[in-house]
Amino acid sequence: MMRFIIKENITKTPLILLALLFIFYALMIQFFEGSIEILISVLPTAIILMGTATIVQTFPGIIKHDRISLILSKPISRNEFVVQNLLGILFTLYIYCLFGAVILELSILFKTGQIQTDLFIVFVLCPILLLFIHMLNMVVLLKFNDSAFILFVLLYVFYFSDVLINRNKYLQSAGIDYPTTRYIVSVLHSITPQIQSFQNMLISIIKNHSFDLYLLPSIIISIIPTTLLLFIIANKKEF
Amino acid sequence: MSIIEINDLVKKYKKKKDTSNEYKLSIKNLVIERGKIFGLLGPNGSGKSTLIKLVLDLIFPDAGLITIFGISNKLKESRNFVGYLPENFSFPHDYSFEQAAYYFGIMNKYSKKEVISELSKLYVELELTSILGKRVKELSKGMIQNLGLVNALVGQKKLLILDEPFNGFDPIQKRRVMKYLSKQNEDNNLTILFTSHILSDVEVFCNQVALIKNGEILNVTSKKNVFNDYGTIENYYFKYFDITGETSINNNPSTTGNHPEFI
Repeated sequence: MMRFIIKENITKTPLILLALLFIFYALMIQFFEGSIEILISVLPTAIILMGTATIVQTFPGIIKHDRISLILSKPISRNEFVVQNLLGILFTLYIYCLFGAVILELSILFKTGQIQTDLFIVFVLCPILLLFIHMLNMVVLLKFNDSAFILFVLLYVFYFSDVLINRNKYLQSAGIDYPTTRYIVSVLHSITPQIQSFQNMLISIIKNHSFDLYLLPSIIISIIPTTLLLFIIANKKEF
Repeated sequence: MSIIEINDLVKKYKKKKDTSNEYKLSIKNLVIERGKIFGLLGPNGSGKSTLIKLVLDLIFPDAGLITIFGISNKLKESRNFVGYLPENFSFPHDYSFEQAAYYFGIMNKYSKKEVISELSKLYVELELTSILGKRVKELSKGMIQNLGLVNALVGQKKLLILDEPFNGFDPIQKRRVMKYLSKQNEDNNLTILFTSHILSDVEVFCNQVALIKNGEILNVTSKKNVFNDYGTIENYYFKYFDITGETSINNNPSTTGNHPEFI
């Protein structure tokens, strides 16, 4: 089943078009100042967008299109179904991330003549973090809605609300002292894709040649409840 | 030897389009023996599809026990030799016919080689070679039904569960499929549980019939007994379901039965 999930996701992504776009960008980047920083901002966002689309379309996609009964009537347990879906999504995300890492490495190599090996560690962590933070949202949202499109939009409404609230100085100075606002901001921050953290990690590695594993605890914390919640839902849901 | 055994099954459920009313499926005892072609007949909303989903553990009972091949249906091993064709299903639209059959075929945990060789045989026997290579989105309803049937058959199945299997087939393909399934039933003792609204299909295809109404099994009998007692499946069906009498034997010129109820 894992092979099916990977094929399903990869075939839906215009990888060749993206590859051409990024190769063009990597070549152009040599002629502009600050261009690596721009790429560092663009690349994680692109990966996170594609990753969200992958995650969002996998579970609700299978349920919504009446494929789930075809799959669960095979000798596949519901727990196996969840594990294989997660592995399938993770593998797909790794393909995207590896693709992104190669593009970024090439750009840095063209620009500075050096290779940043630490970058690959970020790209190893990224899919796991992305998957489990998104899955937590998904599990909650799936209770109310099974449309992949609406899920995708909702995730980004959360993300942009978080960005707006966190970056708005007036809101921060005026509202952050109230416990309710603080609570809303922290909830939004914890359930949104950690694009900013991911970008900060990349910038810190490229500029300072240092790698901070501060994201690891949040990955581990999100893995356990998300996986448990998914198992519980998969075993309780009727199709 | 019993293939499916259902005991004291109770399921309360609500329909998607009618959430205000609660329905109840209640089956004291139902046994489907090996080698039978078991037709489940009943009007819309009588609980046929619900029963099938309960057997496959896609939905959960409030009470009762279901076993397949003597194994609880809660265990995935019970589905090792079960093929299922749902009433509503879809395959990924970008896949070709054989890609879809292959990817869903390998989920049966057979080797790539076994699945490919079995699929090749099925394509020939069901005369599907002309539609190979077509994308799922280009297929007609009947062709997709063929794909669903291939998906149900692949993997050396001993039990087929088919929900309205002949929907969308043209008469030639329907005859071909029926012939193939009957041959599998005779040669390999394949057990088939199927639902249908088309009484003539049931008459030709099955050898045992059960009537289900409002979630309860009204009667289980062999086709031979139906013919002896009622003349046709149609008479048998209307004996139990025609409440108003509008479509009973006297008003229906196509029927030939002579049961006293209808004279």
